[in-house]
Amino acid sequence: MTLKSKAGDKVFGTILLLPSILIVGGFIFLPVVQSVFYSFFNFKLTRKKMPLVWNNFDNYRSLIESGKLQNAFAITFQFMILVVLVVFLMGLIMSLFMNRGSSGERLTRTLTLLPWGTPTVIVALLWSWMFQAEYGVVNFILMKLHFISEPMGFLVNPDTALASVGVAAIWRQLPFMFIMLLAGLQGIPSEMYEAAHIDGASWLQSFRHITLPFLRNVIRSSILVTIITNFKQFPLFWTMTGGGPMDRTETLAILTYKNAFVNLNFGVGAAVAASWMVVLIAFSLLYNRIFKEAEY
Amino acid sequence: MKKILVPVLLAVMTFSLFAAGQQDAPAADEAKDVTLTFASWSVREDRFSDYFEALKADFEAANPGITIEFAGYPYGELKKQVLIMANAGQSPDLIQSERGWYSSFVDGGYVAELDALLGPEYLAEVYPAILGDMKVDGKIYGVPWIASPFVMFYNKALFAEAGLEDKAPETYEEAMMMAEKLSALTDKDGNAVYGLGQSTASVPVSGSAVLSMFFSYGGGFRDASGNIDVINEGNRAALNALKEMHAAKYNPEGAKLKDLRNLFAIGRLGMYFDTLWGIGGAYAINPDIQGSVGVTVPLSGAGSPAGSSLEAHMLLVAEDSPNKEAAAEFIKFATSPEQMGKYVDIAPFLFPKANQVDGNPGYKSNPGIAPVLGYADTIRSIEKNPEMENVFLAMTTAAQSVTVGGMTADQALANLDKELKTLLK
Amino acid sequence: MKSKINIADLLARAVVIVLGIFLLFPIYWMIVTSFKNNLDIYRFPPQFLPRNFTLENYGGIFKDNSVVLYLNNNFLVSIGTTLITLLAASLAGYSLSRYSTRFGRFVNTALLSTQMFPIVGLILALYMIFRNLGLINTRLSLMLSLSAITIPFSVILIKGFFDDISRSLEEAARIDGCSRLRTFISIILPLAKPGLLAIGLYTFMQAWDDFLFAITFILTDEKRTLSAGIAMKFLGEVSYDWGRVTTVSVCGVLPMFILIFLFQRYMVAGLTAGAVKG
Repeated sequence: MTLKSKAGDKVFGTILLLPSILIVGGFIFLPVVQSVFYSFFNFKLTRKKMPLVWNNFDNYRSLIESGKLQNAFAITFQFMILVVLVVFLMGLIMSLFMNRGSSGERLTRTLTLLPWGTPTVIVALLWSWMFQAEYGVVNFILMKLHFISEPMGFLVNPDTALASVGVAAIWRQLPFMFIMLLAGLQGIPSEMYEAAHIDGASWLQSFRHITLPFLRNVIRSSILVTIITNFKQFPLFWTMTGGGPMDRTETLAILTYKNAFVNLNFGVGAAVAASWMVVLIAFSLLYNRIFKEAEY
Repeated sequence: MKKILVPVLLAVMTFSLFAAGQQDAPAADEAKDVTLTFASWSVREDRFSDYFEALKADFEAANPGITIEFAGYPYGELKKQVLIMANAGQSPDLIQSERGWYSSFVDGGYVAELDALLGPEYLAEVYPAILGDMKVDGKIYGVPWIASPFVMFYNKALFAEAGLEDKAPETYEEAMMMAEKLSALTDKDGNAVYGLGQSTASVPVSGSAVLSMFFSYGGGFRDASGNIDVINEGNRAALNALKEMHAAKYNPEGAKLKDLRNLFAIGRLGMYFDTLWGIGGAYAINPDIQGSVGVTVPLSGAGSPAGSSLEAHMLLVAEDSPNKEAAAEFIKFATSPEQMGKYVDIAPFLFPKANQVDGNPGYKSNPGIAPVLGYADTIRSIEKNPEMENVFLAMTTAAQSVTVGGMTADQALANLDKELKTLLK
Repeated sequence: MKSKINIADLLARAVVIVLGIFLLFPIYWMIVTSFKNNLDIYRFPPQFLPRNFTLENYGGIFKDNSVVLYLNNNFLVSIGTTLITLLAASLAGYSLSRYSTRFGRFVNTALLSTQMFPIVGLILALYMIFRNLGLINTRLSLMLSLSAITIPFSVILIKGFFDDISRSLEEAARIDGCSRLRTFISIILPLAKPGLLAIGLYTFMQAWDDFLFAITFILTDEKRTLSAGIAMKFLGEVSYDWGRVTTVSVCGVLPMFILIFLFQRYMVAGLTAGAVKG
C-alpha cells in the first residue's frame, strides 16, 4: 500500500512537471542548445552553402584576444551590481515604510507601481530624452538645485553613461522589488512584532531576527530575478547608448547582438552568449549556496 | 470557487488558443497571380504611409496580376528581421535597405544579382559614381532609391542674426570662423546656440558621417594599394578639427543625427551635416523653419577636395524570391521619374538617376535641392565588406575619444588602426 | 529615545518622498508632454505645465484605430501568457514542493539555467521552431515564448508559497479519500492564492513589456502589440514623433494604472490572508 502510493506520488509529481518542461524545454532549452552548439563552429549567418567547420574554440579565442569579452564582462558586472544593490536597498526602505499602513496607501502604492507598467522601449526613450544635454529636463533640475553648474551629456560622457542607463533600469525595476518585498512583509504575523516589543527588543533587533528571516525566500528570488534581468538587459543599452561612448557600455548582450546581427558572425555571437551563460550558472549556484548558509 | 477554478482555467486556455490560433491561410495562388512581399521601414511610418499606399495602388493598377504586400518593421529592426526570416526560408521578395546594410546582404548571399533583371538601359541612367558604389565584383545587387552625401545645412535666420552674409561656407576653415560667430548667439530663452554640428554618436550612420569628414580632409582608411592606413595627415587634421569644435562648444557632445535635427529645428544650431532627407526630421518638428534653411555640398578641409560616403535607401530583390522578374518590375515602377516626383514632395532627397532629374524639372529650381545637384562628384566609393558597420562604429569611437574622451588625435588614430586591423584582417 | 525614533522616522519619510518623486516624475513628464506641441517639447527651460495646451496628439493617434488594435493585442497576449504560466507553474511548483525527486530537482535547475541565455542569441532558432509549428504570425507564438521566459521564476516563487502550507492538510485529505489532484485543486491551490496573484502579476507585466518577440514573430499589422506598433509608426528613421510617442505611452500606461488599482484590494487581502505559515 505504501509502496503503491509512493510510486503513484512519483508518477503524479512527474506529470505535474510536464507542461513546464514542454514549454520551457521546447521554446528556450532547445534554441539554447542549438546556439551553444554553433558557438564551436565557423558559423556565419549566410545563404551561401558553407560547410559547418569545427574551429577549435576559435570563436572564443578571438573574443578573448581582442579583449572585448573581458571588457563586456566587467561592464555587465558593474552594471548588474550597481542596479541590484540600489534597487534592493530602495525597495526595502520603501516597503518597510509603506507596510506601516500610512494613509492613502492604495493610491500611493498604485502610483509607485506605474514605472513597472511602462514598456522598456519607452523607458529607454523617455530617459534618454530626459538626460539629453541640450534640452533634457534632468539637466534643468540638477542645475536649479545647484548640483551641476552647466548642462552635461549624461549618456555621451564616458564616466556617466553606464550609471545613467542604470538610473533608467532602477526606475523600471524598483516597483517590482518593492511589491515583492511588501508582499513578504505583509505575510509576517504582527503578533511576532508585538511579542518582540513586549520583550523590549529594539527596532533593529526585530528587523534582524524577525523581518529578515521571514523575508529570506522573497529576497532570494526577487534578487535573483533582478540579477538575471540586468545581466540580460538589451533594449535599454541598445536604445540609450548603442554600446558607446568608447565602448563604455558595451555589455555582453550588446556584444552578442553586434556579432550575430551586425556582422553576421553568428558563431562568435553564440560564443559570447555561451560563455556568459556558464558564468551566470556558476554564479547562481554560488548564490544559492550563500543563501543556504545564511539560513542558519 | 474551488470547483470552478479548473474548468474556468481550461475554458480560458482553450479560448486563448482559439483567439491566437486563427492563422492567415496562405493566399490561394491563382494560375499567374503573384504576390510580392516588400519589407520596408518607411511604409508604416506615419509621414509616409499615404504615399506608399498610393504607390501600391498605382503599381497594381498598372500591373494586373501582381499584388504588393507591405511588411513594415521599425527602421532599427529591419535588417535583423530580414536576416531571420531569410534564414528560416521565409524571405520577403523585396527589401528596402540602408546603404550600410547592403554589404551584409550581398556578402551573405541574401540578394539577387540585378544586372540582367533590370537591363543595361535602366542601369545606364544611374550616375556612374553612384552605380560604382553599388558594384560588388563588377555586379549590381541593389539599386539606389533615394541618395545623398553628407551635405551641410545652415540656418539663414541665424546667419543674419550673427551678421554673416547669406552664403554657405566652402571649407571647414571658413565654417569654423562662422561657427565662432554663431556660437556667440543665444536663443530667445537665453540658451547657447551651437555653431557647427557633426554627429559622433555610437551608431553606424554617425560613423559614416565621421568618415566623410576624414575624406574631406584628405584622409580615409585605405592607402592607394589597399592597405589599412588611418594614421595619416588628413585624419589627424579632421580629428583635431573635431577636438576644436568640441572645446569651443561649436558641436553638441556625442549627438545623434536626430539630436542635431532637433536642435536645428528649434534654432539652436547654425550649421550641421546630414543627409538631404535627414532635414525632413527638422521639418517634422518645426515646419516654419523650411523657409530659412540653406544647403550646400560637402566642405573641403585643409585644402583637400571635399568627399563623402554615399548614404542611400536601396531596393534589393531577395535571392530566394520566386518572382524576381515581378520584383524588378516593381523597382522600375517605383524609381520611375513620375513616382519619384511624388515621393520627393514628402521629403527631400537626391535622385540617383539622370532621367529622374530630367523628368522633374521643378527640381532644378528648388532651393532646398538645387545647390547640391552635383553631389555625385563628391561620392567616395566604400568597400562592400560585412564588417563595414563595425568599421563605422570604430570611427565614432575615434571621434568620441578626441572629444568627450580627451585623447589626442594620435592616440585615437593608433587605437583606430589597431581596431581596423582586427576587423578587416 | 523618543526623539531618536522621530529623527529616523523623518529620515525614512524624506527618503520615501524622494523615491516617490523619482518614480513619478517621469510619468508626469510623459503626460505633460503628450499635451504639448512639437516645438514646445524641445523648449529649454522646459515647461512643467504645457503653455500651449493641445489635444492634437490625441486626435492624431486615434485618427485610425491602430492604437486600439495594438492595445487589444497586448491585452490578449498578456492574458494568454498569464494563464499558461499560472497553469504550468502552479502544477510544477506543487510537484517540486511535495513530490520532490532527483528528476524534479534537475528539472528545476535546468529550467532556471536556460534563463541565463540572452534572448538575442536564441531568437533565430526560436523563429525556426515556430515556423516548423506553423505558428509564425500568431499571438500564440508570443504567449508560448513569453511563458517560457516567465515559467521558471514563477515556479520558484509559487513553490515557496506551497512550502509554507502545512502538509498536514494533505494527509487529512488523503485519509478522507481525496485523490491527489482533487486535494491539490480544492484544498491547496486556494490557500496559495496570494502566490498565484504574485506570479500572475509578474507574468502579466513581463508579457506587457515584450518587444523583441513581438517584433520578430508578428508579421502583419493587425496582430501587432503596443511596443512594436509604437516603434513602427512613430520612431521614424529621421525623427521621433515625441508628442505621439508619449501620447500612445500614456494610453498604454492608463489601463495598467486602472488594473493595478483594482487589483490592489485583492492583492492586499490575499497577501495578508496568505499567512498560513507552517
